[in-house]
Amino acid sequence: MAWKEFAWNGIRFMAPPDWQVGRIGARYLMLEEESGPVLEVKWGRIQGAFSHQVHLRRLADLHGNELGKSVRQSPLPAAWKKALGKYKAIGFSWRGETIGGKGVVLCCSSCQNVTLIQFYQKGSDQTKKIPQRLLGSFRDHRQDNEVIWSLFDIRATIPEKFQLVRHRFEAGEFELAFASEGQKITLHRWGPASILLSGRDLVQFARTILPHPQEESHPVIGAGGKVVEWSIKPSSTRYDHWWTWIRAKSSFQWARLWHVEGKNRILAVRAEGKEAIDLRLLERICAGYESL
Amino acid sequence: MRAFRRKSRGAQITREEALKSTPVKSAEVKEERLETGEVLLTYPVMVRPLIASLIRQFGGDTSRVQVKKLHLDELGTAVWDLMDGRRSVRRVIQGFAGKYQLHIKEAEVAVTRFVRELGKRGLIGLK
Repeated sequence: MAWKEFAWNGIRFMAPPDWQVGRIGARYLMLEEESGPVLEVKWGRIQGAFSHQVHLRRLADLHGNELGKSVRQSPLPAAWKKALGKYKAIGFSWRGETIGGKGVVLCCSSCQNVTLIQFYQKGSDQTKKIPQRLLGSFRDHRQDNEVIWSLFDIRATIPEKFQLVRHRFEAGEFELAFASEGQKITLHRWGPASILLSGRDLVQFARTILPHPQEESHPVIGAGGKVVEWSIKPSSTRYDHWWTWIRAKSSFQWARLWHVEGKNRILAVRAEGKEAIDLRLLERICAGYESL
Repeated sequence: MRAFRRKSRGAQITREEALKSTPVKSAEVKEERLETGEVLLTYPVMVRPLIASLIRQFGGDTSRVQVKKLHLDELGTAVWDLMDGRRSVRRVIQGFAGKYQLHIKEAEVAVTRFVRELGKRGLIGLK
């Protein structure tokens, strides 16, 4: 089976198809397979000088007394070095009673991002080619100021200036919220659509889940009622504009839901802000938001 | 001696072991298929001695066995139907994910939560 993409908050890499997300943080991912954790990735931007040694010491502190003592710098395998190319990197390893780990701390000189990647090793069953291929696919920035978000079965491209403020992955419902300068964009994903839309159509579903703030009926766009969209645009009068600011409410609100029949899911993009958000940007986000 | 002892949680099993195990329905559970295709489960529950004595004091039925009902929705019915006593939890998850085109991890979370709930009520056991 083909490897799948994991992309989260600026980083991207490919991993084996049977590796699943076990834990998610704003700048943290833990992947696991049936037998337990297999990979941890932690990253962040640095300011000022960077020292690999300092980061190794921090890692040792994180592991606690016994494991921490076993964390040591180790030579980077030649294949890893080749796969990482332009990154400044050092290797490390640690060993506990039943499990060990081998990893790399890498720093990107163009985006000042530092990433810690560690592969868990139980005995010697870790295939040597997996880390090499995974590290070769690792990226921590793009040239177009866009960030790809791809976890589980959703994939979206969001402008870099929108920072992740909330994420929720629950059975049947995913939600990713981004904010930038008083503007907020939220991605939703629901499933299975065949259950959610049983006995009601998408308009009725939208009314219960993303209701129009002024309780107006949702205009339906697109063929066959497969897309529902509504919006509230900022008022043109100076008084209304001022009153909205005083009440600290979003004067611009926009939402679009669509039914992805082939995938049995419902996707939605919701936007709000005190100022109107460029509709071309929202169109672009909708076009790039897909269910895999 | 400690006055209050923490209740033992019993043996914890790993995720791998849990996925390999096979859910088996209790012989005490009666299954009724409704017109909608959904399943209504009827099962006996033992009333705790303290509660039973209170019921008795208030002149209630002293029988310690009560019958409870559980109405499964479409998704619950699908999982219940997949549990045929031969399929492992992993295969139930795969079947459920395939039927509703769910991500396998999402199906795992939903199915394991449901299996745990059925287990708590004594409707199934894991072998």
